[in-house]
Amino acid sequence: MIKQYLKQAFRLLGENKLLSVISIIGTALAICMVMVIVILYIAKTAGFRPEVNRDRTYYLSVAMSVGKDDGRRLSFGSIGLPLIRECYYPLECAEVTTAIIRDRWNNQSALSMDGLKSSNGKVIQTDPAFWKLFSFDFIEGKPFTEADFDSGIRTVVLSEHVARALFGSERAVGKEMKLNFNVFRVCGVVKDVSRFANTAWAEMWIPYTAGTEYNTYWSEGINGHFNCCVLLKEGVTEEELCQEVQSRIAKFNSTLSDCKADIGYQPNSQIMEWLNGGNEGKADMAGAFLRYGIILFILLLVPAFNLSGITLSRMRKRIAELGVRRAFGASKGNIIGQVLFENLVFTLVGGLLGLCFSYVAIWLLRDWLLVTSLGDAGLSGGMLNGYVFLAAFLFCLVMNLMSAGIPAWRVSQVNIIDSINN
Amino acid sequence: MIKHILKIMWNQRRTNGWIFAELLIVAGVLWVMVDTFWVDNRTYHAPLGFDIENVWRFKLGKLNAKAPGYVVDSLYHSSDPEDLTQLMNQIRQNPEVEDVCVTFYSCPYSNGNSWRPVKPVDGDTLYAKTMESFQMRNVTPEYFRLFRIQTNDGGQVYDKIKGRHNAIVITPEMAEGFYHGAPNIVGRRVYHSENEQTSEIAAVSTSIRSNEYERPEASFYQCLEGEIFNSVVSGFGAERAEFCVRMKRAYTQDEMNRFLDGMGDRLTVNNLYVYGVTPISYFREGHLEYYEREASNKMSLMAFMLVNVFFGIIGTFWLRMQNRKGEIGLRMALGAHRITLQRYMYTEGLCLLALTLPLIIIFAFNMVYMDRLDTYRQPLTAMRFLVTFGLTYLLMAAMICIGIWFPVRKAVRLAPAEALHYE
Repeated sequence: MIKQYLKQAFRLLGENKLLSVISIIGTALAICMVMVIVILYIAKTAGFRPEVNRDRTYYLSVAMSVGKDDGRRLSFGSIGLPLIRECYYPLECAEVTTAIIRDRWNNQSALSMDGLKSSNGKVIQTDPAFWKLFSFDFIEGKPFTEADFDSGIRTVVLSEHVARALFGSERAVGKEMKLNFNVFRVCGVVKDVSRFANTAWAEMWIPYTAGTEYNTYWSEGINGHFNCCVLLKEGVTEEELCQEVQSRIAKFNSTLSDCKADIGYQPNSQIMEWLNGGNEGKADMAGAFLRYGIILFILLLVPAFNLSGITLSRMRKRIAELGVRRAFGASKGNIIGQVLFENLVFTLVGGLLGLCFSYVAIWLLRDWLLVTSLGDAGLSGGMLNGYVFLAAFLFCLVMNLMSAGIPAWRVSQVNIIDSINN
Repeated sequence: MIKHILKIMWNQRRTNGWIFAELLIVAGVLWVMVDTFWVDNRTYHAPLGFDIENVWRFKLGKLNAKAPGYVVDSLYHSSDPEDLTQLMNQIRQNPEVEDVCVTFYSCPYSNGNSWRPVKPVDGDTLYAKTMESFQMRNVTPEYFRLFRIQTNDGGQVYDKIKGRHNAIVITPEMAEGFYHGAPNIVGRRVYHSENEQTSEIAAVSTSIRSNEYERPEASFYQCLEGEIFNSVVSGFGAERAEFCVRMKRAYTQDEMNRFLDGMGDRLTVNNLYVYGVTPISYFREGHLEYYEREASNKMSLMAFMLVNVFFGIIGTFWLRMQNRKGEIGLRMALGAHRITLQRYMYTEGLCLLALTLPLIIIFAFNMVYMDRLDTYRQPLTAMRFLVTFGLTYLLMAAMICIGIWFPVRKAVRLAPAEALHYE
């Protein structure tokens, strides 16, 4: 029977070419728009190298310091090292805690030793735990070691393209270079990182003890230059982490004289950090998803109106045929099933086309679609996975139901005699 | 003719229903988007209050104790404020430099914002009772000259402020809130920092916006001169200053790097040194990126809607032409001119669109009533409604006409005899 439906559907496709083209392109466009949104959402929330642990990563990126007596706000921004040392590094709910300094706005100057080759880029100053939380692809060498970190030895991990710019090849381990006019030794070279890795992305990574900013802090150590990420231990819940963080903060606050730290609703999960990272208030998750839902709904609804009109008129032409089927014993459900199935063939053809369109669109429009807060990024392998196809298929089903549901129901309701009479 | 068309449309209500529903939704969504574009566009093109052309921000650092050239404590007989002043002087002396100023967390397009409670000493207003916090910008007097900030009566703020200690400059929004349009605001005093200190208002500037997409807010400038300069610089540290330099002509980044190279040791004062330069326009791009991406997203959604209107119209009218070939043939046989026929079709499509208008107006009133429109940045005016509605319906009408043109062209080419065949 399915074979029969398929045959019929393809016949119909050829019968009125213009209408078929319109319904397929209409579906394709809708699925394309929807999939662009889905793919971008996946790129921002799903785990991929080097941020493979996004589902277990929690962010503590900001803190507010307020006056102890009057509650007057003093400062709001990145965190200082004393707070991290007291509260975040010892967290028992965390497998790994890493502290990161990143200057989002300024490129640092990297020079070869003779000063002839240069490559300005973004630098992350961090600790050895960083390399456990994120898994980078090392082409050569290793991350800087605990010992390098403890003694503030100037070592640097370069990304592939910086190594190539400075040394002409990725084989740079053991060589020396100048970063902000200080001499650093290269200890490892990693593959270039996708800029969607919002936290791990940089072009050079150094121990923060080799920099100058780590010891700068204000508000009694609450605020400084750091952002923190923690990796939740297996088997520990988010609530337990929140409670431990809050109790440690309370303890830390009791040791301060004039101010106290307020970290608001942190730690943030990956999705919350993406929606609301760096803001004070609570992330309005429901609101954000509602907004996405409305956009997706409208994206599907508008073409569904088009397709409904076309499907209905197509079906009305075939009402005699459907009447004969009913007369020979087909139930209303059978008729609805047939219409929906035939239509699904159109929708799937459109959906597949739409998915292809969406990758083309992302590639063509990467200049503004893929601009992250770090700059523009390219397509990455993480954007093509099973979930994308599953999502595309689901949206096709929804689209099918929206565009053929009412017509199918309408034609199934027509009186048998009337329809044969037609 | 219209009456006749309405009758036809009613008879075709089954197919028209779908396209009407689509037009309704698209018109609603499109209007909301056009309205946000109106707000963004009007806000963007309003005066900003300052000018960043050819302005660069130097990055400052302090030499590390191990670095060559480090001045050890026993030999260091200066202070942060002195070093910073010295550095400003050294750079200002270069003939290619027009002006130099220093700010702390107050440079245009920097993410810095400091707030401080302020109230008028003699104002008998709401603000006189409680102290409300306002954004404060810590700037040296040259800031006003460098960023070309004017007073609200067209003079230069710099002329009013130069050489004065403990003076502030307020924006007209703050002046309005404090004094409600009273004359002689200049010279009055305000309390700040918990009633401990007062400062004199030296000038009222023009409205200052923090970027192109924001509306001006009440804020004030604290002028770093004399004692205040010393305490602020010592408090924050000289290396944290936002060191702004206006060049006499436009430079590229490479030229600027070379320029800095040529400055040599004039970029260093004791342990304070310059180690990087970024145009302010770069920070501006970073700041506006979010808004621009939003605008592109809206644009693509609008394009998508319009393409769908096109598809919907083409599909509906195509089917209709096929079903009504007989009627068209009859009309032609009875002497209807092709142009009349075409006009019928176009009018029918546009009538369909026009019928959405009352419902969209009800929708618009609801949006206003529920305060879902951006009335903070741009007021609701008749002009705003006229332009946004006009643009929405113009776009949709254009799409409908293109959609109808295609099937109509085929239909009217039909020979009357052939068309009658279908009757």
